[in-house]
Amino acid sequence: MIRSIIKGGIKLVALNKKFLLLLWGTNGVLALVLTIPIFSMLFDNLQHSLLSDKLAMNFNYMWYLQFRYLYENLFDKLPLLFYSVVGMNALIQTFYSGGLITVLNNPKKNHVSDFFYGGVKYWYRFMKVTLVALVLFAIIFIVNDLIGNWLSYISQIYNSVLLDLLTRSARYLILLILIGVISVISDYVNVTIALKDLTKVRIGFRETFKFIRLNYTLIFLVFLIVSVIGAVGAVVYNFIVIFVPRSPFYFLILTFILQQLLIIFRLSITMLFHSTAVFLFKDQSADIISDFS
Amino acid sequence: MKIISIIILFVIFAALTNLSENISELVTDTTTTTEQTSFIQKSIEAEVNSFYDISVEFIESEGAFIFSGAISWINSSPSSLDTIYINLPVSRDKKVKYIIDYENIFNSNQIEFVENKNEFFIDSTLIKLALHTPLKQGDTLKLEFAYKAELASKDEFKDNLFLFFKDWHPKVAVYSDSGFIAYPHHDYIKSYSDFSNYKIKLKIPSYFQIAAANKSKIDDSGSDIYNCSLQNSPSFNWFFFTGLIESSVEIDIVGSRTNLEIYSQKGNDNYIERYADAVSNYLTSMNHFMDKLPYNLTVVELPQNSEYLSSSYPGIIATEFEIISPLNSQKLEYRIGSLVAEQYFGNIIVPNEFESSWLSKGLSAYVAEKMVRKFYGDLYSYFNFSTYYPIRGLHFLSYSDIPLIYTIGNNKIPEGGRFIEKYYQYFNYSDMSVESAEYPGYEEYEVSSIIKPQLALLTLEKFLGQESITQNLENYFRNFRYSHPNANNFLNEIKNGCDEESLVMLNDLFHSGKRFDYAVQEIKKLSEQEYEVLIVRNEDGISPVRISINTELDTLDYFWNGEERFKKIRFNSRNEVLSVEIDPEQQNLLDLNFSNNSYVMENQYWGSLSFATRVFFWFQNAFLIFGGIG
Repeated sequence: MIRSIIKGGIKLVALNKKFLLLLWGTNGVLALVLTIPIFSMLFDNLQHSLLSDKLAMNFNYMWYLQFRYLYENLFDKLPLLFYSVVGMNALIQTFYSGGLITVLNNPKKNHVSDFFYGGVKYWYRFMKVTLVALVLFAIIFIVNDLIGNWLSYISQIYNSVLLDLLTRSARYLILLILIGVISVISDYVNVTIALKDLTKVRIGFRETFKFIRLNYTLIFLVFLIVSVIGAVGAVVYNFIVIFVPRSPFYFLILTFILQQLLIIFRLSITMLFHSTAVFLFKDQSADIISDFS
Repeated sequence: MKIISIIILFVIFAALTNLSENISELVTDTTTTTEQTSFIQKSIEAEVNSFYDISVEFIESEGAFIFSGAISWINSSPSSLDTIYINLPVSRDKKVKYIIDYENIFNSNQIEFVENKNEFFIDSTLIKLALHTPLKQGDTLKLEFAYKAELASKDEFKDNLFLFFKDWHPKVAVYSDSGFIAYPHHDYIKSYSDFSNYKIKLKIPSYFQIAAANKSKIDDSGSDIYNCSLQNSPSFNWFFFTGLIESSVEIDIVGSRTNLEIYSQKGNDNYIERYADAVSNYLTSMNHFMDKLPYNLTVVELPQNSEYLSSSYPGIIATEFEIISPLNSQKLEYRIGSLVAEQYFGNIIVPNEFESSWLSKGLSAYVAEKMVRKFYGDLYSYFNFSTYYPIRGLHFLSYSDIPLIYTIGNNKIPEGGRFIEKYYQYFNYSDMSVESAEYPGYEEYEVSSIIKPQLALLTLEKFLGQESITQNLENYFRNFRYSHPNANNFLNEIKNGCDEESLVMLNDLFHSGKRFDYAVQEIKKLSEQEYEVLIVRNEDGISPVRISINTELDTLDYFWNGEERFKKIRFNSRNEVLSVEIDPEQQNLLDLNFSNNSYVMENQYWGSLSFATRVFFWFQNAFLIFGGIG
């Protein structure tokens, strides 16, 4: 069952691979917005410096700290810019989710126009789901911080480093699991809303919880497997990149290509999350027709 | 006439006899033993002017420590003294509170209290006492005292009690030619104390443990009595605790075996071997150019959440620890290195740390850096995940201890880079000529007393050579052990190895907070073979500058003393000039900007592009994480 879902998901991604270009392009443009100011600082610092070539070969820790200090004022402003672009990215990804689910749901109607139609159609509904998810994330992080303070207090009383270590580790594990759970739930709410064309988000949540309650094993196993596939890709990349030399300069191009291949791979994993969700939902929600034989 | 002469002689004889009896009374009391007299006699012979004979008993049922003892202080100056400054016990630990009857703490017929006790208090930790009769040269002041300290909560022991007794008894302030030099106790600056002899008796129930220098234990039906002694030491400090694991490890120091006592936290015996290895390596290294320590060392691991900082007191090293501390992070080894070095530069040489903490801490930091590099190799950058898990690499953005933008890899940190980040954050407070006690907080103090001096010495070493600095340190130690040197004493030793240009730099390094930044501003081609290079000094700090001019076929070297604000160098070269570089070996670690130390004729892109592509990739990954919402 799981194998067929994964296979089906991969097939759907392959059928709609042209949209990877859009996802990759958007990701690249947004990253460029943040990279340009940093490149400008780097160029200003290294334009006429012998360190430029040395840094292309080897990292220089002292230079790095000096660079951070010299451009401190600009670096202080970067987090604000970063979070603004992250916010924009969230809006755009919500739009793309609508488009992706539309084209994944109907392989025969997977033109670019269908993609944008779906994005526009579901954007407002998906934004509401995103807002609910954000509120849940905020609650999780606040509770996480409060628990952290309480655990620090407890470990002070018992004066046990081991206790502090174990409780912190458990806390982060639970945090990561909860983040995963909320991500999965919000993905499936989007799929439910899109596939059942629900207008009320509240009903979408209710239907999704019903669906998850009946199929939670399948859902979380599929999620886990897709995550592992993604992790394997990252490991393979990290392994390969160690062997890429830093000189001559054209190896920089090779490194850049490998990096972008990884990004494209991870974007396809994102699409795979959506496609397996769509496949699973359609499969498990389909009406069962009796065998007339 | 004859009768008058006899009477005069008789009066003189009587006066002399009376005087000698008074001296005897001063140095002995009704319970003086032969042992005590000889203890004082030894003090006089060793030119130690004070000795402390103190008994401490812990009464478990009351949760209280009872202190009683006596101070004997000999006026070795030619001046007569009518006042004396004494530091009183103070607890920085919320678990212990001293109960002191300030008007009756001392029992002595030599001092007086007036009605208004506030006249005597400089603050609650420093008191000025008036003497009934002036204390002349050679006279001894004898003060007996008694007080107690109570645990804040009597239930707070049995499993996790940990107390550190520093500044725990009354202590006479340091007396110098200019008079008493007395300071109230400080949160993190070590008290300024004179060399004294200590005889301490600690009586505690057997269940509890003690870490102290030179202790010997006697069992006494349910209690343990520890007799401890220290000669010629600025202080005696001890720890009182339960539940730590006691280990005794034999270590090798320059061919002789000695015992190292280690008290480690429960469930943390992983580091015992590392402590032993580090202490053995460092003491062996230091014994090559300094004396052997006059006592065995004890290492005490501080509890994770205690208020105490890592510290080095005579015979005792107290160190913070991390539950996960890989060997190649060097955190443990560096900390032990600086504490071992401080045994020499802070406890055998005792500078006034209220004025120049850097003489103790900064020198120790420099020596520690050299020793750690020698024995444990290069340092690489680390960041922590979830507070405890060190990961090799760099991190740029994190939330709640979760790294969000980071890179994993081996980034070597060169000598001087260990703490330089903090120097950049706080270098407005890096003027070492400012008294250490003036700094507003610990971070600022740390930069001026530990980080800047370490960087300054490492920089000097690059200019003068390691042998020269090592020799200077050795001379400084030999000339000032068991004394109270000041900053000029140390700097005069360093100046011996300096030329004129280095002297200017030495002055800027140690007597100011000046910054250093030399830059190659431009290279002009004036004609076919004539070039002009402009080098500027952007900041106020002056250091000698080596200039390398790289042509197609060779390299030309120049030297500039660095004093002017800018320097134009005109030269002829048949070969095309490619670049100019100043300080090519990065000798001046305090130079704020290494990238402007060189100038290349052509625009350079690869460094910027290389980094920019990495940054681009990091942002792409960050958006993949954050774009997963919804």
